[in-house]
Order: sequence, then C-alpha cells, then structure tokens
Amino acid sequence: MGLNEPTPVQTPTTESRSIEFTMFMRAYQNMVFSTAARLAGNDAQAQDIAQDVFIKAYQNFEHLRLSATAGGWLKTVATNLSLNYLTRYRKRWRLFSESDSVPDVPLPDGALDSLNQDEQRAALEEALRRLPAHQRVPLVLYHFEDLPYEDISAKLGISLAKVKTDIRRGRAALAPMLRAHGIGGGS
Amino acid sequence: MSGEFDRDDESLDREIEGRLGRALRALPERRAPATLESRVLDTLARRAPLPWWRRDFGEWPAAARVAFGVTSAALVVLTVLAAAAANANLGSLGASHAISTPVLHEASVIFVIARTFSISLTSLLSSSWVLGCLIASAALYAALFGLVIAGYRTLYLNADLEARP
Repeated sequence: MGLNEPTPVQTPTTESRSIEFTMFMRAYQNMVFSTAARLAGNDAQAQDIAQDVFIKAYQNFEHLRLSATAGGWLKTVATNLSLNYLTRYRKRWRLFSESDSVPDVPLPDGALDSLNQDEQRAALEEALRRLPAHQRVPLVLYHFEDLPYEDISAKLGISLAKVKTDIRRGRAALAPMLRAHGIGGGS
Repeated sequence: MSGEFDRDDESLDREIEGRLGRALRALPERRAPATLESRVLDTLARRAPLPWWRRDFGEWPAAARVAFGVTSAALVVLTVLAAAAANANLGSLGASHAISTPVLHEASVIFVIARTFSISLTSLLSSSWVLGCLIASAALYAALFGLVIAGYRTLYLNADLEARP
C-alpha cells in the first residue's frame, strides 16, 4: 500500500465486534456486578441486572467502545436498573412480606477479632447486605455513588428527612463493626 | 473507645460517617460470577439472528412501536363499535328475510341464538342470586389469596431467613 493511498475504514466484523465486546465486558463486569449487588442485596438478582446492563451496553456499543465515560454510563445504568428492580420487587411482594427488613442479628463480642483484613471486608460487605433495603439503598448511593442527600431523595422519591434518618440508622447498624476493629480509622 | 459510639451527638455521627465512608470505599469490587459473561454472550447470540419484529417489544424501532400502539388502539375501538352496532341490529337481523347470502344468514342465526340465550339467562337469574354468586366468588378468591400468602410466608420467607447465616 502506498503512502498516498487512503487507509480503508475498519468496519468491525461480527466476530471482531464480539471479541471486542467480550474484552469490554471483562473490564467492567466486576464494577457493574458490585453496583447491582450492593443495591439489590441479592447476588442472583444482581447477576440478572448486570446481564441487562451489558445487553443495553451492546446495543450502544458503537458509542461506548471508544467513549472515555463508558464506565460512568455503565454505573448509571446499573444503578437505575437496580432501583427499578427494587421498586418492582417491593410492589410485587409488599403483600407477602411482613416487612422488608431483615431482623438484626447482633454480633457477639469478639466474634470478628480473629478475622484478617480480607475477612473483615467480607464481613462488612455481608453486614451491608443484611441491612434492610430502605437503609442499604440510600447508604450505598451516598457512600459509593457519592450522591448528595437531595439527589437520593429525588431518585428514590422519598423525603429528605427520611433519607437522612435511614442513612443514619444504617450507619448505626454498621458502627459496631467499626468499633470492634477500628475499621476506617485511618486517614 | 466503645463509649464514643454510644453517644448520640452530631460530631460522633460525623465521625462514624467519615470512618464508615472510608471503610466502604476501601471495599474491593465484588467479583462477577463466572457465568455472567457466558450468559450475556448466549443471550446476545440468541437475539442476533432475530429480525426486529421477533425481538422484545422494547427493542422494536420507535416508529414500529408507535404504529403498533396506534393500530392496536384503533382495532379495540373498531371492535367495540362493531360489537355495539351488531348488538343494536340483532333484532332486525334475526327478523329480516332480506339476508340472502348463506354466510350472513348463518351469522344472523348465531347472533339471534346468543342474544336469546343471554336474555333467557338474565331473566332466570334474580339480582340477589347474582349478588350472592359475586360475594361467594370474592370470598373464595380472598380465601385462596390468603392461603397463598400464608404458604409463602411459612414455606418461602421463613425458610429464606433461616437459611441466612
């Protein structure tokens, strides 16, 4: 090919597109799954949500494949789909459940003392998962998504006061873990 | 050390917020299940060869979705109007001897039979009998619904809570 000849435009074949999308998915699947799992509090549902996120991503892959904000787009879609799932789930099962809270199971003193850092993190993740949805969801949106109280209130369609109360109660439920291990005490 | 977490003041709340925020942000990402990738690719492979009209309604082109909605609404309106017109003309259809084609004649016979049956049924059933049936049906439905709720709470919800570590 001579230097003056135009470079042919690369049109991705179905196979190359599939490979490229697989690499894309591998780069982001942990982030998408984590977002969905922390909001939904249920790994099976999180996997369904993550699947829907990547199917939407595939439909928009022409834009996303070269976009620097693909991660943000995926996180936003994962968050919105998780909230949609929670809304649907809450409406569907409201009649069937006594409440949407999981009864508190107090941690015995010293139960976590022998845990290493990975196990402490797993325990914190599990404690977060066990929070009732009305506390876990605003807490996750506040601490993981960095949303201000006002945005959480608007997103969830609940009052600002309730958002603050739920987040404070969620923190209070997790505080014993911080106390037991000095988690988060560093700068 | 533990006492400071028991105090309920704003500065303590802020401290917990800061520490918890740092702890949560330090959490590593959860590892996605190994099956996620294959699930997504399988789903995409299943959908890929399908033309748009065989995919989920949400994936149809916007124009097609609008056209489908308008057509469906028009069909519903036409059906309702046709049913109303047919009902209004049943008597005249049945009594008329002007119907010459066999198909129309058969249709008119069916309409007349249906109308006669509905009129006979209405006259046979007193309003109190109908009301009783409705109440009994509602009671049975409510009982069945309550049974399903009790079953769900006993068999599924309690089992789910017991299964939690």
